[in-house]
Amino acid sequence: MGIKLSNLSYQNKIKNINYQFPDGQITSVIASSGGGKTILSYLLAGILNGEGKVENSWTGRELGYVFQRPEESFIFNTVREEIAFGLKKYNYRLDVLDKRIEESLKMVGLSKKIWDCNPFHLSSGEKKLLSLAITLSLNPKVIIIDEPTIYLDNQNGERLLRLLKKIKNNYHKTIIIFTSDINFAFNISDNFLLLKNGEVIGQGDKKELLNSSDRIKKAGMEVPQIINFINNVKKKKNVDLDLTFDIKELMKDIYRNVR
Amino acid sequence: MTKQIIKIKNMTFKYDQEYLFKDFNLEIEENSFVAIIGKNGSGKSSLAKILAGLIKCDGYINIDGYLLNDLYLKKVRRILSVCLDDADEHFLGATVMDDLAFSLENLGYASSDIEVLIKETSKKFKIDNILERTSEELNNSEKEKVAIASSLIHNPKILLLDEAIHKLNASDKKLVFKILKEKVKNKDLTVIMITHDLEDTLNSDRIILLNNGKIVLDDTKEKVYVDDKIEKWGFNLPFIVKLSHNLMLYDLLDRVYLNEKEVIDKLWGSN
Repeated sequence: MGIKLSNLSYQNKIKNINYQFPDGQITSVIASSGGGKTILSYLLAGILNGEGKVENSWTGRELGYVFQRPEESFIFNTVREEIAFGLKKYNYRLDVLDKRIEESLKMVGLSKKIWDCNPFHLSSGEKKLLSLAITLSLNPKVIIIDEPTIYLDNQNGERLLRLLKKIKNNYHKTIIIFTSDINFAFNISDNFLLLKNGEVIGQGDKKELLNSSDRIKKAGMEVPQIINFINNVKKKKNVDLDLTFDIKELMKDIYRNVR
Repeated sequence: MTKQIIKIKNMTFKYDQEYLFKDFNLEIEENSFVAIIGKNGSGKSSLAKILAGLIKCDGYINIDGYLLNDLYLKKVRRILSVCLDDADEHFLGATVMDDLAFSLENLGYASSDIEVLIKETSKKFKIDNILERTSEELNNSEKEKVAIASSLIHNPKILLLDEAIHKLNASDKKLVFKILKEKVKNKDLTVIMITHDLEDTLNSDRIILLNNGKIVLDDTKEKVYVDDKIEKWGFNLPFIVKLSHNLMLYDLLDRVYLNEKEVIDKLWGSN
């Protein structure tokens, strides 16, 4: 059944949200700073309790949560112990523990070299990837990530994009992302939920997101440059280009139009 | 004659027995806007911490005439203001007002001056309506804006931003860049902005690319974006640069443009 929100509110920060997160798909909850992202993610994960209902058929290790600030989940002095902790807690077989740890790090693109490093000493991007590795090591059914790209460089951002798509496609996981990175959201989402001051002001599939420039702006966020460009061409030169997020598609369209 | 406000010579820094910087050299011109980019773990945050005097290294670092050492650290701090990536840690006062006042009191300003400066700064940064709020009552964008405002309130000569703008929302980012660029233009500030988002670099004059503690690219933004070599280092070009390159391939543009309006005018005429 997955996760279903009914009339969910929290103080005045989340206002009467109704939504069913589709199973086996990637849904982005998009909002600018202060839009209610982190609080809603806590409500989903059961870290906070609000008014209304959160029906969640996944509990314990089935539900993986990656904090916005990865340090919040770190407690040990080495990367190895940090990943091993959850695995031991859920009685993972000790003889294959190291293999599992290695695999989890590899998945997110971290090298085995950091095994003995102190997690608190890693760079911000590595910390974020480590906390994702910790979550993935337990093979959860649903993965909730608060601001996945905030500390990542382009290369790691793209790696994450490919990884999450692969996890979704190959293992039919439900992935819920809370983000203000509109480019990432455009690239990764099957569905989206747009929040402003804790209220839903837009929702739909990927295509609908392309047509949501006005609402994205209303939510206090920058529309992706490519969409802005297409809209500005229309506005300034009265030329209709197809809305797309793919620069190659845009190129073809411009070529047809200018030549 | 242009003055180099920061001079780093033969700087060496080890982390966990390994060299992060070895004989590192860098000069930064007064009243310029420099963007330092690098991948995760490239050394850009360590460089920020070194310049902020938070971690110690070997070698020669001169900031506006003062050697960066224990003797002059206080002086240097007054000249070079730092905003690190965690705005929460920046916040010291109970309210925004206290926080702004704190940095001034710390520098020994009289209370009448403090009042005037807070009024001016908060108006400029459009935070005059949230002066009474506590840190918990601010969203991330507001927190970062307050952190930058409080780093600039005593009018330092240099502002160092270490990933300190990536939580700003669209309108706040625009405002912050406008303020910074204006101060640079008025020869009132040197900005060093560490970022992983190349879109931000379009606001700078000079781009420095760090990789494993070494400078591998250092040029004006116009020259850096002439070709796509920066992509080989694992970065995405800013959209308008990428589009320019593509349009050039199709013979629709003659050169790279760093601004959207120019591209649109080139393609469809400037009316």
